Amino acid sequence: MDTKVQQRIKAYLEKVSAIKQEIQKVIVGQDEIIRLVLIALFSEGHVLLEGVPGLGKTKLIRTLGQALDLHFSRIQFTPDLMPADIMGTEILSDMGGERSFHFQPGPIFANLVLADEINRAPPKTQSALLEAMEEHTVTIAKKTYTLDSPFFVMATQNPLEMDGTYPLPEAQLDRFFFKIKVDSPSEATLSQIFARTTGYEAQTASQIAHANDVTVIDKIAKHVAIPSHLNEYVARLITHTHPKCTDCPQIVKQYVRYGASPRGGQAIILGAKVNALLEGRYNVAFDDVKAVAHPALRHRLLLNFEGLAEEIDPDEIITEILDSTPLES
Amino acid sequence: MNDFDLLISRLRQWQRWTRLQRAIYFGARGLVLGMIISAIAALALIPNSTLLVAEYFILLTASGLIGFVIAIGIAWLWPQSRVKIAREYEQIFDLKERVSTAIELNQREQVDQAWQQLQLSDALEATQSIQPKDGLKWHFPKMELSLLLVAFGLIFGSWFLGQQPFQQAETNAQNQRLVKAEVENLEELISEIENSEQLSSETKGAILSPLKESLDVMNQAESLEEAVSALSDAQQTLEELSSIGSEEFEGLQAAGEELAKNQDSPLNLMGEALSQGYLQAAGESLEELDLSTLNPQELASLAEQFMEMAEQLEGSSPELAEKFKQSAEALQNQDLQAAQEAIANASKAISDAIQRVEASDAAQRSADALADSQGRMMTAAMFSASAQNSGSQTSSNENPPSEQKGSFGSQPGSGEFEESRTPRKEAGLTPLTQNNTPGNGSEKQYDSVYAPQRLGGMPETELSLGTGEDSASNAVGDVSSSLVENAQSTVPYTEVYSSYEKSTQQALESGAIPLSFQQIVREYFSSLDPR
Repeated sequence: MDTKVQQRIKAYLEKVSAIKQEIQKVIVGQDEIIRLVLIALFSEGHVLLEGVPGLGKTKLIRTLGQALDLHFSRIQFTPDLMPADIMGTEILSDMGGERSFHFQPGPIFANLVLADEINRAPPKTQSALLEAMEEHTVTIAKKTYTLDSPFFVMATQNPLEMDGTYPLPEAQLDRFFFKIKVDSPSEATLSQIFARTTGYEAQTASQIAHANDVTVIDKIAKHVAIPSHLNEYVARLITHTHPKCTDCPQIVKQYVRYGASPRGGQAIILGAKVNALLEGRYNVAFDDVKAVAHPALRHRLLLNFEGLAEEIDPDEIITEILDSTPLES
Repeated sequence: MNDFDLLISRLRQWQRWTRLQRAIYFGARGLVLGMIISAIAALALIPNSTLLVAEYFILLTASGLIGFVIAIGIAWLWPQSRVKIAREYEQIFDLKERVSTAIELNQREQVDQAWQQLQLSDALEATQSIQPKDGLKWHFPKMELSLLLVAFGLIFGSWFLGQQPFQQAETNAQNQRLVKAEVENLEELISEIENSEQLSSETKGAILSPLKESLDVMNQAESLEEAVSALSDAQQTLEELSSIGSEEFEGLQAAGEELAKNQDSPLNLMGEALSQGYLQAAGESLEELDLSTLNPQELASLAEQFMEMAEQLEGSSPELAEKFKQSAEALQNQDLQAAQEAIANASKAISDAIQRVEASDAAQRSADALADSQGRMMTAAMFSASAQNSGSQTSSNENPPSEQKGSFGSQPGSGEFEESRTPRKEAGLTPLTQNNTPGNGSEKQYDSVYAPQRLGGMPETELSLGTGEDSASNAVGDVSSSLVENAQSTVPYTEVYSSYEKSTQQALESGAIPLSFQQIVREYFSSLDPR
């Protein structure tokens, strides 16, 4: 056994566990969301959180920034928000009597960016995030600026208030690694939240790791092996999300307009690798795939009119696909 | 052993257990499938009445066993890739794809050695405490049970439907055996006739022709009736052949009796020889007759006697009658030389008659042999019919009594040409005897006959209706020495016959015997009637 590698991995896994514990000190009862957010973070992916206001989405990402010692910025998306408000702009400044334009970075220049209520900004502004999310660069006035690594966008959207919102375009949605649903906490969880947030001492997270640790864990996760049959299984899953596939379930044919893109498969495999690593394994298992399939695919399935009219939950379709797709071809 | 080999050895251990499990399931399926196939085959064969009970069970057992062995062989030798076995292994023991990943990483060329070893160690650690046999899931074999129910249904159905056909097949098999035995006897008879030195080639040809025809038919006979019919045709032909010589013989005998009445006649000696059936002696006696020693009165008397003989033999033996007539005319013409010559010719004609009578005798004996064969076969058919009518199942070792009664040639009048045998007619040498005619003074005291069927005894005892040594006597039974020593019950022939007669009547009345053969059966049992 290569003890050196193993000890290194073990050390990082302990850090991850510690980060999780630190976040759980502040965020109560959202263990699954924390787990998925961490998986996305260590996979260098962005997360779209869907949930009503007040469920701790902003607090979660702020706590994550505290635990990892990452630069955090928050952008409140509004209808009048302009791309320059996010990216930054060239401003005229007087430097010792010499006037010149120099770039003033926007809030996008951070490690953790919270795009709050992203669907409230017009598409032009939403699209400003595209380059940053995919290529980790920003181009302004013909100049390209590289964002610091890690770069993690955590967007939120409110599923209820749809008036005056701009649904995210497919291209934008596809750039999110996971779409995580934040449900209302249970009574017991609420009780704990009240107890922690209404007392004299506010809970804060300590710094556990550095930005560099996130990059290292991401590299370690990419070493996690995936057996060929699971690789094929994921490919089969993605194929089965498309209504034109002959073997796909009936629910897909009936309610899906477009299936998942290859990014969906990549998200499943990368997410499964991190999940396996967090579970202490060096290989991806079938359970890992199942664990990340829903957040990786739910925003990538575009429902047709019938599906939208009947308010079909994409999670139902994904569950059906998982159940019906055979592990062996 | 390195880590990878250790992992593979654990995998092989698991593979052996799964093979064993698969072999058990497959073996059960093979066994049941084999039985189903054999039951279906039996159902297909049963209507033809060609399947015996023993064959049915052998078919079921053999098919089941063959199916079992083939299925086990297939299950054990079925090829499986190592990765596939590994997947099954990790699925059963919830190893989270550790083993298959380790094997795949080992097979890949471009892989981080550290991670490969890490994965292998992880897989080994996970499989360390696994007991392969604990992972075998013995599911309730619904499919096997369903197949078994189908098999039982088919077996029960075939057994239920096969009761009558089984009996019929048993009867057919017995009949075939009987026909085969009779074919062998017929072949023996043909061989004996062919090798006989007493018969001319023409006589042999005349006798052998119907025999060979019937042999051909019997070899291809599909039923007892067909075989009996062939024998009956041959018998009829032979009897027709025999009747010619028989008439001649009887004519000579009658003429001889007439001559024997005249004590003073020089032909008295010849007459006595003829009347007793010694044709050769009669011929020799005639040849030795010296006319020169007779006076004219005696010559005249002799001429009259020759003329009378010529008249008597004109119908049955025209050639001899002509010779006697010529002798008589020569004597009447007082031409002693011509008369002497005619007498010599008459003597020669008697010799020719001997040949004809012998041929007739051979034909008759052959006909008798065929009649016996028919009788045995019809008796067998009758017993089979009786057994079927009574609903009793006939097992393969319960042969009808006629089947074990010694060889064909040893039966009374079977046509065997052995010197030890007393012929029915020994033309010219020994007097003709008909010892089976009631009231002719030849009856013997009844021999002991052990009749197991009558007494409900064991069928192992042989009941014989006749032996070669006692062919001229009434049919008697052979009793095994052990039984005689044990003083088993014996019954006389008449009583045994009465039981046979009763069975015959029942068979005839029930219609079990085809109409065309009823007369043959009647005649056969009538010939056995001791009264």
